[in-house]
Amino acid sequence: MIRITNLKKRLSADFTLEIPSLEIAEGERVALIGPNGAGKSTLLRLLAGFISPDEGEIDLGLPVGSAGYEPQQPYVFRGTTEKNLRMGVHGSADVPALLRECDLAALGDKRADRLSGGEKQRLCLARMLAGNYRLLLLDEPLSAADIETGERLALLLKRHCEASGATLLMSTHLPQQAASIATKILILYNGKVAEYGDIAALRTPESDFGKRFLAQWKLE
Amino acid sequence: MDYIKEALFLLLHPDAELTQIIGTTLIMSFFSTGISCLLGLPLGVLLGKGRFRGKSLLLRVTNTLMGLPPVVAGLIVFMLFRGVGPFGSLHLMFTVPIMVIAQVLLITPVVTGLSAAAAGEKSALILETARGMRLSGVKQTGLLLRECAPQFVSIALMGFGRSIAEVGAVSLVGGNIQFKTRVMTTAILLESNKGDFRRALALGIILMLISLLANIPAYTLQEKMK
Amino acid sequence: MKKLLALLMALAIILSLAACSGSKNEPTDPAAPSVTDAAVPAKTPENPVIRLATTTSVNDSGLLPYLLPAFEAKTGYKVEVASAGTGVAIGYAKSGDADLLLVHSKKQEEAFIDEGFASTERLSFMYNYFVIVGPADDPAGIKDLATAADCFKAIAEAGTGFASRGDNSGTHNKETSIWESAEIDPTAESWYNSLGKGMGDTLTAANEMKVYALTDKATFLSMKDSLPNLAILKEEADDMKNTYSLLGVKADAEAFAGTNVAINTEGANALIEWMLSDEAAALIADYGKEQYGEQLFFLIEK
Repeated sequence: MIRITNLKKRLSADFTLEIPSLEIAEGERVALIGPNGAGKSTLLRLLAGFISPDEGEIDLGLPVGSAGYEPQQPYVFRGTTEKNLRMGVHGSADVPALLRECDLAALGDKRADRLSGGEKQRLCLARMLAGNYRLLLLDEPLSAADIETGERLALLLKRHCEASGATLLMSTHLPQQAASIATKILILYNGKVAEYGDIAALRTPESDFGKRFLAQWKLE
Repeated sequence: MDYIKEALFLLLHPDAELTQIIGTTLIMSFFSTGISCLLGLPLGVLLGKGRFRGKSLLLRVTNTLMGLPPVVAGLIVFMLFRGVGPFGSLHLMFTVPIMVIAQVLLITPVVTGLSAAAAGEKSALILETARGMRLSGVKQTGLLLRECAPQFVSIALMGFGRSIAEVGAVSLVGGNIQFKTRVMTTAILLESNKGDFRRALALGIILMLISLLANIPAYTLQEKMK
Repeated sequence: MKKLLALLMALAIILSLAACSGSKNEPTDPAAPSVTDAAVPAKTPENPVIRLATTTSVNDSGLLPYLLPAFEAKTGYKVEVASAGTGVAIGYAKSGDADLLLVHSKKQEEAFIDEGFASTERLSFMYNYFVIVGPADDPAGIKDLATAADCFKAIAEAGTGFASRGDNSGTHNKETSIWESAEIDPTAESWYNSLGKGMGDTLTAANEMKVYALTDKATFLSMKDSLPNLAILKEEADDMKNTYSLLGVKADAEAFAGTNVAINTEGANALIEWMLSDEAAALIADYGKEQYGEQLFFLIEK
């Protein structure tokens, strides 16, 4: 269980991330949604422990180091695709299967710095999945994929989390992706939690959350 | 063409003095570059990736020192190590070690500045990714160094180039003593001053051949690293 | 690739080994003299290294490399000749980094003595002639004038150009004193080029610009082949003597008090004694005869 209480993080004169209270149960998959500058990356970096809050507390309910974090622009290291993937392995991982699942099987021996933008992003996602983390914090991990590939990778991510019981927080701009992966939706707006609720509510748009979600979405 | 022929002839039939000159030059440049890199690369990486107070001041100082004229570096070392200077008791004047010291003073800022720029450019992305992958601190630093390695080779090569071609500092503290502290550049200066332009030019060509020889493996190494 | 690296390393090692063995052939270590009997010195000096500071012009003329091996073979000393501009050479001596000086600049030598650095008086032991070189067609018409001062006056009047070393060296000081006796201040004139360079560079520049210059004869002769536009127009006037002096450095000079400066007085004296000897005199008188067909340095009568 992730528990955030009275969190305040001031980033600039006109932007402060404020979350009075937020709980995420183990095994949930949360899609972070919100316009640019809403605080999505800041929240992920706070959870990853890269920055610390000015006030309040974050309790991951996990030992430090068991959360994997992927920044918005992850770096691919020198060496081949496969070598990059192996760098991410903690414990055991089926590297050939991961390569296959992420459409990288044919690129295993290719120099990673020569991959295309989409290929690099798939590699970085695969590298995260190889780490067997109990909490995955991913900052727009599928932004460079086309819609079809994005859908497929979203399903892969979902299956992976279901199988391992890992908790997932990922930011995204695409409602379809959010819908196909997440169990919960967290909408950030101007540093505050605008909405946080069950994905199922979306399927009943007449509910309060569904109405508000759709209203928020139009803001973007 | 004649000059190149003469240079090759000299290189193939070196007299005792030429062998000494080339040997001393290589030894001096090897140590100058090596020590400068040992000091400058870690310092540059720390400066490039670190976030601390006074960082921009330190970077500015380094950039200023990168433009230190060789004669001034020589002069500073001369004032420190001359017989009546504070380190005069070490009796290092007119030796190869003092030439190395003067060159280290000259080259370390260049290595530091360039490696700070190289590491600074990518360090944030590399370290955030590596940290996100929960790699150990040692591994993170290792990865950063590994990613910057191709640039480090270029930087070391630049340091070597500057060392081998530098004359102002080494002639002042080395004294251009025959069979002792005479190196390629001071020999070229001497020969051209004597009006023996043929030998001067031949020596110059040999100097460039040595630079070329150092460049080839470095370039191959860099290609291999990618 | 690795092979290439290995090859380069090997080359570097071979060269440095060669360099080390090369320098060991020199009598750097008289305690272990080479096997050739003739080279074995009579006695081994306690402090075998003599540090001689001199000007580039002395070193460039080739006289020292010609003279010193005889001294080193005889005594077992090793003379390390540090050559730089006169100012720097005297600077080395004042810093305690030279045991003796060989220079040719009366004013600066006297200042050195006045400041209490000298262990000997000015031991002027030889001279050569400065010469005025210039374009062979002699546009200022100096060829038949009596003194250097007269020549300088003519050069100033013609205004066709003069290249000066401008580096405060012995040669430059000599030039300045000739201008003074000609009562001319050329420094602001457009035909006067103050280069701030050594003798060789100055002659090369004069050759390119086709202008007059003052030089020591030995340097000019040794460079003659690369100076096709220049000829000796005036030599051996009384006011054109270039006198070389030896000066020992005083071990207990005031400036050295409280420092670790160690002057090899014994070695310096040995070298001075030898330079003033008949053996050296004979060598000096012969110098240049073979290569240039004339005597370049003349001994001062004792």
